[in-house]
Amino acid sequence: MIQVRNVVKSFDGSQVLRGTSLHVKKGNIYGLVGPNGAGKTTIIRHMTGIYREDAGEVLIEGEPIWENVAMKQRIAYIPDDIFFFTGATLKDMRKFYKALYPSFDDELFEKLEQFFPKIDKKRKIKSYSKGMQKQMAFWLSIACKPEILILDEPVDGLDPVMRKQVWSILMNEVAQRALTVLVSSHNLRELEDVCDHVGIMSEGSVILERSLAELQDNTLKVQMAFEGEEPDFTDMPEIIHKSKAGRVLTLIIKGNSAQITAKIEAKKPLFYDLLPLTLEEIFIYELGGKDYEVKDILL
Amino acid sequence: MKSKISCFKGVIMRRDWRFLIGICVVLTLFLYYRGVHRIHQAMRWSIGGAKNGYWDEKVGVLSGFSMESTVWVVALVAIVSALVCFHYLFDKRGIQMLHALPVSRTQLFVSHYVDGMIATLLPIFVNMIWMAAVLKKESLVQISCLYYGELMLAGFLFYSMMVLLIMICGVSFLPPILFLIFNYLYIGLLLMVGDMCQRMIFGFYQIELGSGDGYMEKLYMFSPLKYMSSAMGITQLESGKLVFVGEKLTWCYGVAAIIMVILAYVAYCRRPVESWGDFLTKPWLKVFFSLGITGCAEIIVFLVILRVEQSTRTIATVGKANALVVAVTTLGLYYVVSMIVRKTVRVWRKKAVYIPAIVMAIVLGGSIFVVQGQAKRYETAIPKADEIEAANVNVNMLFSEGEKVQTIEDVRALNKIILEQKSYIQNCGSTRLYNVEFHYIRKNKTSVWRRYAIPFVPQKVHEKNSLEYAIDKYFNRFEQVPAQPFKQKWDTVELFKNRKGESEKVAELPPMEMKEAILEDIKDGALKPLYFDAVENEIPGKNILVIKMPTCGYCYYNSTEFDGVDISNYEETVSQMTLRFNANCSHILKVLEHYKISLKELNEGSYVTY
Repeated sequence: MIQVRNVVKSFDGSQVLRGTSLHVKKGNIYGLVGPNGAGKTTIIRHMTGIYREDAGEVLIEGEPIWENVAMKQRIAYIPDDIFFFTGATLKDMRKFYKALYPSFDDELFEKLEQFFPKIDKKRKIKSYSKGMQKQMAFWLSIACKPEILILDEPVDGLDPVMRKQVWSILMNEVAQRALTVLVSSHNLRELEDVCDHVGIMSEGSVILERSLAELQDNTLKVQMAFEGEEPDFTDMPEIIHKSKAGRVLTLIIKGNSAQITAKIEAKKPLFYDLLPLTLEEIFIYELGGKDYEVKDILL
Repeated sequence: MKSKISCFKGVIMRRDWRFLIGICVVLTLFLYYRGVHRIHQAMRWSIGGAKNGYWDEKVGVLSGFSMESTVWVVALVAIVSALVCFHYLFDKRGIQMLHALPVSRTQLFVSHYVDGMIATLLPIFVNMIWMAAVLKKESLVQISCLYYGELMLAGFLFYSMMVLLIMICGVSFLPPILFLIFNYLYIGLLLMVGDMCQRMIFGFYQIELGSGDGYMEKLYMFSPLKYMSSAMGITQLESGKLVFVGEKLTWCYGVAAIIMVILAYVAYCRRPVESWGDFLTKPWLKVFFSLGITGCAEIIVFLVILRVEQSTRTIATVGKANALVVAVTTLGLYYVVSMIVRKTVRVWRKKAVYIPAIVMAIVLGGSIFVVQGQAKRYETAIPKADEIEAANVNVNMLFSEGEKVQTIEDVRALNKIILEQKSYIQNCGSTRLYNVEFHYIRKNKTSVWRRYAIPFVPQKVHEKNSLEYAIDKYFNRFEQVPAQPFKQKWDTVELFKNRKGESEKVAELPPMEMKEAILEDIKDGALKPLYFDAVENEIPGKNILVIKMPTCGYCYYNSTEFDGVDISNYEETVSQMTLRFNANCSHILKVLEHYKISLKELNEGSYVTY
C-alpha cells in the first residue's frame, strides 16, 4: 500500500533522511518508532505529500503521492500539531472536509458523535483544549473514510479513557474495512497493543522493519545462573547485551528461540529463564550504541 | 474528476472571505467617499443654480481627482488582501495542513490569488459603475472610467507584486517591507547613486526628483507606487476640458503584473513547505539579496562618511575625501553594522558576505580616487563646444532665461568661471547659497546637467574679479529685459512714498519719459536684480513707481525688483508693475527733478545695499 524507497531529504544542508525505505501492507497497523530527531515526522510528511523528496520515491499503491490529488483523497493525516482555521467550528470543518473528501460519510460522522459527547459542534474549535481538538481531528478523519490513516503522535494529550476509545474506533475501522494505519508514537507500550508491524528509525533511516510477533520472537532475554565460573558464550548467536547481578547472568540474544534454548541447556546452568522482550526493550536494545548509550539502564 | 481539472476550489475560496469581506467593504466605502459622495454633495449644492451649473459642479469635483492617496489605499488593500489569502504560508501548521489535503498547488494558488484579486478590484469596479451611473454624461463617464481603470491596473499590479513577494519570503513581515523597497528601488538608487556621484565629483549634493525632463519622468515608472500616486490623475485644461493625465506606457504595468503572476505561480509550485520561517524560500535568492543588501548598506555607510567629511552645503571640502580613509572606514562600519544586524535580525545566519563587501569598498574608494584625479581638471567635466547642440543656465528660478541671449559660448564661459572660482567657493564660508544649474543638450540628444550651490556675498557684486560680479554681469544684461512690458504703451506711472509700511501717493509722472528713463537706468546697471527674497526683505522699499499698462501676463525682469505683474490681482484689462528705484538711478531722478520732486523730500537713501 505504502512504499517508501530510498528517500533522501536535507534541510539547510543537513541530511535528515538518509535513504529511508519502508513498506506498509494494506490493512496493517504500522508503528513507526525511533528516538527524537530520527526523521519519523519528516518521513510522514513525505507520505502525506507535504514534503517533496530530494531523492528516492514515496508511492501509494504504486503512484507517487506528490501533487496527486486523487491519491490524497484516500489518505487522512492527523499531525502532532493540529491546525484548524481561525474561528472555525466543527460544523464548518465538517463542511470543509466534506467538500474535499468525496468519501466523507455524514452518517458515520453522526454515528461517531456518541464517542465524543463533550464536543459541541457549534462552538469554536480554538476554544477547546489541545486534547479535545485532537478528538475532533479523529472524528473528522474517521468520517472521511480514508483508506490510509497516517497519525503522528495521535494520542498525545488524550486522557486514558479517550485513548482507549480512539484506539477501539481505529481497530474497528481496520477490522471492518481494512483501513491501513501508519502511526508514529513514543508510547511503545500502547503501540505494542495495537500494531502488527513495526519500523524502527534511527538517524534518518529505518534500521529494522518487521512484524511485531517476528520481532519479539527473534530477540530474547535469558536469565540464568551457573555453578562456578561463567561458561564461554562465543558459540551463541548475536548477543546484544550482557550483564550480571550476583550470580544471575542476563543476556539479550538475537536469534531463533529453539536454537538458543538448546545451546543454553548444553552449558548446564543451575536454572535459566527465557523471557520475551517488550517493544520498549527491543527499541532500546536496537538503538543501543546507535543513538544512545544503553548500557544497563533496563536491567 | 471535477477537482482534477478545475483550477478553483470553492471551499478554499469561501474560507478567505471571512476576512476579505471587511477589506472589500472598507475600500468600497473609501472610494465612495472620495468619488460618488463628493459628486452627490456637489449636486446638492448646485440645486437652484444655473442650468449648466449642474454639470459644472461635477466637472469641478472630477478635476480634483488625484491618484495620490487613493493609490496608496489601493496598495494597502492589495498588501492586506495578499497577506490574508496567503498567510498560511507563514504558519507552520497551516501550510502543512493545507498541503496535506487533497488539493493541488495550482488549485491552492489560483483559488487564493483570485480571492485576493476580487477583494482588491471589486470595490474599484463597483465604484466605477456607480460613478458612471451618477455622471451619465458620456465624456465625464469616459474620464471617470479611465481614472478607475488606472486604479484597477494599480490594484492588479500591486496585488500581483505582493503575491510574488509572499512566494519568495518565508516570514510574514518581510513581503510588505520588500514591497515598499521595490516600489521605491529605482528612485532610491537614483538618489543614492546620484548623491554618491555628486558628492564625489562636486563635494555637495543637489538632485531633485521630477526635474521636468520627460525622459526621467518615464523612468520613474520603475517606481510604480511613486509614479502612479504622483504623476496620474484627472485635471482640467484651460479650455475647461477634463483630461486624464498619465503616461501612455502604463499598459506596461499590466504586462508586468501578468509576468509577476506567472512567476508567483511557478514560485508557489516549487516552494518547499519546509522553507517556512526562513527569510527567503530559495537559496539563490538569499545570495542575491545578501549581495543587494551589502551593496546598498555600503553605499549608505559611504554616504554617511562622505557627509561627515564634507559638511553639507558649505562646499568647504570639495574633493577632499580621502579614498583610502573612505574605503577602509566604509568596510569597517559596514562590518560593525552587519554584525549588529546579524545578531539581532539574523539576516545572514551562517556567514556574512565579506568578499562582496570588500569588493564594494574597493570600488567606492577607487571611484573617489579616480574622480578626484579627474576633479583636478575640473573644466573637462563641461561638454566640448562642438559637441553641444543647445545650452542654458538657470539660477534658482529668480532669473529668466532671457530671450535668445544664452549662447552656448556664454553658458560654457559662465560654467568655466564657476569652476575657476573653485577655491573661493570652497573657502567662502557663506551660508547664503543659491543653485546654478547648467543644462547642455549634446548633438547625440543626450543631456548633461551640472548643478552647483554657490555662495553669495552681495558686497562682492562690484568687485570685478569676483564670482558675484561674473554672475551679475551675465544675468543683468540689458538684452535680458523682457520686451513685453516695455513694448506696450504705459497708461500711468505713479510715484509712491512708502513710510512705516504705509504708501502715500506723491505724484503722477509722464509715462513715456519714465519708460525711457527706466530703460536707460537698466542699461547703465543702476537698476539691478535682487538675487534673493531674503535680501529684498532686508531692504525697506521706500520709493516705488507703480506702472499701469494693458494686460501683459506674468513677466519678470530677471529678479523681483520689478514685482510680478499679476493680472488676477488687478482689473481684467489693466496690469500693474511696481518698481523700487534707488539713488543710483540717475535717469529716473532726472525726471523727478524735472517735476520738482527731490530725493530729500522722499527721505531717499541708497536703495540697493550691494
